[in-house]
Amino acid sequence: MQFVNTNEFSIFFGDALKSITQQMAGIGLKDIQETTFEDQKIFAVIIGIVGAHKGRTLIRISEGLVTKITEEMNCGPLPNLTEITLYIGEYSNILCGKAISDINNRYLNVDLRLTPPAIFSGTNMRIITPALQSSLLCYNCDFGMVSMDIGFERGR
Amino acid sequence: MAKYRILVIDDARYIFKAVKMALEPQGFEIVGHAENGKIGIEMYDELKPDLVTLDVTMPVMDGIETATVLFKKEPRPKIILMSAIADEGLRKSARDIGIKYFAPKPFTPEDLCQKVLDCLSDV
Repeated sequence: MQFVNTNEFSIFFGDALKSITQQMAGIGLKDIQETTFEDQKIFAVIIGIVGAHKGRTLIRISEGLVTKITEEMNCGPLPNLTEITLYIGEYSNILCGKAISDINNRYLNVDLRLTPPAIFSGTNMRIITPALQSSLLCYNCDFGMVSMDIGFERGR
Repeated sequence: MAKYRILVIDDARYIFKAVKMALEPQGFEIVGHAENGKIGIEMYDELKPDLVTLDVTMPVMDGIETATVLFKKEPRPKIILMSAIADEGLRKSARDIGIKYFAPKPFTPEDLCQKVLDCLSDV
């Protein structure tokens, strides 16, 4: 198997996050060094990655940005939290799908696939996933912030 | 002229709405929405649509399995496979069972409409 440094994968996820957010919601994201969601309501989406390398993505999005993205996707406000949750899950699935498609086309035999998204919403959530080598990407825009933590199992 | 009738098989409500918003203004009729392949096959038999938009990753029965069943029912079902994953491996799996049209998500209304027209006119 071709040697792959999974740290390189985070570039594909960052590019996908920015391009899909632009394409689906018309929002340009700016890179920032760090972000904090303390005392803010956020939505967190966890999507597992399976294939030759196992890992997960954790996407955290502030409520204002979730509202803007889902309204753009729906061409209008969504009626309830359930619908918002389903839409933000699909947005996350599409952007992770683009990232792993680009990775699969770039690297031989990695054949990554995604698990269905798990979506949470709340304030001051702490989500910890040990034993993963991860990269954190942070962005902001006029509507709020988004971060993406991409982690893969060590030892591959 | 009779409207072409489209069945959407996809577990994401957003995609159903996006397909509807892309195709209905162009004169297509969306005749149904199934949230997995098993229900989709039942609706296909009942509604006899002119074309199916088919998601790949769904619960109960996925898109590749569903397409395989549809190709056993008739020699050339009109199918546009849709997926957030659009790598060469998946495209090859689709081609191997006879699917010629693939729409990566997200799609623009114009792209989807063109693919539907191309698929419908493909003999």
